[in-house]
Amino acid sequence: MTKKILILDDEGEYLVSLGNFLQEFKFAVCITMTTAQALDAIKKDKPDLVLFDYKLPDMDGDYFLKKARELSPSTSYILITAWNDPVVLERFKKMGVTDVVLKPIDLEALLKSIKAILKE
Amino acid sequence: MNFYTLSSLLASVTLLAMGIFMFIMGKPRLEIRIWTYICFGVVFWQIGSFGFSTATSKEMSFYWWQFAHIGAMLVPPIFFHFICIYLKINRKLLIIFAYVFTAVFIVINFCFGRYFIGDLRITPDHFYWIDWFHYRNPLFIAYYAIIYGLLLGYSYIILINAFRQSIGIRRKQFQYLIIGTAVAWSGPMGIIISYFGINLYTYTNILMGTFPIIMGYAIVRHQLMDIELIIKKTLVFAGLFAAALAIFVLPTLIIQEFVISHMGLGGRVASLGISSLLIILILEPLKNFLIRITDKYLFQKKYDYRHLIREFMDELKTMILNTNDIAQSTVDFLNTSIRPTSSAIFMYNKFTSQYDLISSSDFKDKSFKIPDNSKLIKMLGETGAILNITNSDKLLLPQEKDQFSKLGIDLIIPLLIHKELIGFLCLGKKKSDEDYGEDDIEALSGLSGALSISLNNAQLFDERADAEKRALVGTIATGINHEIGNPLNIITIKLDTFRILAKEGLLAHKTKEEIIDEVDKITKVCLDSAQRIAEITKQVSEFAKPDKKLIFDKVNISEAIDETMAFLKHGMIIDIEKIEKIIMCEPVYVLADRGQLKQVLFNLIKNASHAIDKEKGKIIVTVDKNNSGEIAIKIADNGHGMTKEVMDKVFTPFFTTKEPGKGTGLGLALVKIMIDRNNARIKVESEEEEGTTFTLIFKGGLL
Repeated sequence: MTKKILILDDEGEYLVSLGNFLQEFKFAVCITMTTAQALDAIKKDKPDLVLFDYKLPDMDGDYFLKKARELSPSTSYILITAWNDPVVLERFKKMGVTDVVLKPIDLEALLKSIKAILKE
Repeated sequence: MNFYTLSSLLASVTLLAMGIFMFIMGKPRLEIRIWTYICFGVVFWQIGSFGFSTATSKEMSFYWWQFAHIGAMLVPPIFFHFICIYLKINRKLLIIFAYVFTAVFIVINFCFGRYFIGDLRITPDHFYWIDWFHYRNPLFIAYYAIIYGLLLGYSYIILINAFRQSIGIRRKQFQYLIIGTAVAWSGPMGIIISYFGINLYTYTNILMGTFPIIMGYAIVRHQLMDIELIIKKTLVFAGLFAAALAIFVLPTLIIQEFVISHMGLGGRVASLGISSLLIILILEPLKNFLIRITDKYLFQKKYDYRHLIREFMDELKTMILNTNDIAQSTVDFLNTSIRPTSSAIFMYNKFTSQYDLISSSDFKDKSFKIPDNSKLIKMLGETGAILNITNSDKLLLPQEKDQFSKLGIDLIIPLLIHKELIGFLCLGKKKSDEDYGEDDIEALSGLSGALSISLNNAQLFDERADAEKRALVGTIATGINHEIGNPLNIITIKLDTFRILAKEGLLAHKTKEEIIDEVDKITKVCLDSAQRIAEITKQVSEFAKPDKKLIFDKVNISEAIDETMAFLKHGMIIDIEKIEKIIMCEPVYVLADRGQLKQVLFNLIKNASHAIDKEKGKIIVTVDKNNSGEIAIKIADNGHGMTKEVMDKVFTPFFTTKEPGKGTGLGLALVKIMIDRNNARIKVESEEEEGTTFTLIFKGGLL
């Protein structure tokens, strides 16, 4: 069965590029630019994996993660961010983020991590 | 030999001395150079006078009269020229006319002397004077009426007007200049009035010779023509003492001679005793008397210290908060008031635990430092008292004392804040050789208090300004990270995707055209992103230009606002949608430093963004010209506004209404400083719950 991946980021060009890349590897990709959209999609589709940044325009990352986990407890999460703040990253890991990937993204590493999480 | 000869000799010598002295003292200054020409003109004339008053024949005397006249005629136009330069008034045409007129009459005097001077007759003093009785020469009358009547009269009208409008030391200077030169002009006036049969010429010529003495006094006491003369007190005193003693000893010698001639050798012993007794008796009162009069008349400046220091202390309070400026101003002030041979200010440097030199004048060792564990520092911190190196045997180690003496330091004044030694001020001996008296110490104590406070404030300000800079750097860093990070991320993803797909063989099924199309898309996106990064780095470097030296430029305000808004957007400081720009007139330019103008706009808009509501907040930037052609940039917000009390203090450094740690209270203070430096004004209007408007007003019509 095709695994579903949801990506949340406010930078459109990046979102589309990453989505296209993952589609090439036969994932079903959903891209969202706001947390509201993302939460709606998570509630409806129950994706297997969510890739998100914690600096979000309409809601803070902590709140988004809490809410998303309530809506779909079986989903895994990867935090993708440019802010290499060890304290923050540690906090997210404690809150249930499986992996953290720093921007600019190393796609091969990301792909490896995704595959490992989704046990492909 | 007669009295007239003596008087002209006296005048020649005194004026020559004054001329040479002024030439040496005030070499590069035009007014003083002209003054020396006046002196030499008079010397020329007095040499002529000496000549005609000693001439043995009528012919010889006549030649000397012509010679003297050349000098006398040169002086009035030069004097007028001097007045114009000295008072900085523009009478160029009149000066040229005076010189040409004089030149014409000098030629007449020289070639047609008979018609100008007329004939000579012998005076009761046995020398030749102009014979007014037989020939009343009209040329002579015309010349003197015009030059001595009109030109000199006019010169004095200008001078007296200047005197009336002047204040302080300048008033004194004018007073002496008027009195002194008036005394000098009595010389030629003596010649003129002899025309009417009043023969006072000998006495008026003596007056002429005394004129440099009056001028000399004015230079010493009131720095006439701003000539600063440093007189060694000891030298003056020694000279005066010798002169006075000689005057007192002379009578005793005369008495001795008288006694000897009557009483023979035995009397000599007795009279020697009397003389010695006299000298011993008068010595002490004479010394005291001389000290009193020299102090009073020549060194009275000392008594103005308190006043000067009070004024300077007031100045210190209003000085721009910068440690080096304050230290430099203080050193400059001390150089003109107390006039030490050297001065230096040391401040504590907490990073090196040393006291470093921050400002000095004529100080021998510019790299001199004192560690904070030295005995001197401990002593200064404990006592807080001014230390005189000469009497410091018990307080300092011998090598320390030696070191300071070698550096020419005489006085060390501690600068204390809350009993902590933040620095100290070193002074060398006074140039006048006087010792530092109790009143000096008292005045310097007062000064050190004020200086400590303002230096301490400046240090705190520097530290806070650093914090403000760091905060700004933080904001910029955030902005850069976000704004450069994103396009960089896109470039990476695009290129990496292509690389991975190729490697994984996922491009194999695509046609050649499809791949070319793909590459075209990728490179386009990458180039766009690179362009975005380039744009941001350009803006950042534009914004971060050093503010030390202002570069005044014709700045398009509208452009400056756009660039600032772009920067605000990149720094994620405010939602750009909330800002509205209204330009009320055709492209407006102001003369300003582009970087600073943008920094001012940046700070004001950033402040406004903090004041407004997230939902309904709005900032309006308006550019308009007012009736008087001034250009006003208004930054208006509809935020929470402020109270009258807050508004009054809004430009005060360290004043902030934000929570601790959120604002340094320097943003608007820096805005004010930058606006001042750009020759503009800033105004604030505010209404609680209505909003705040800052208005920058630039001079218009410059471009």
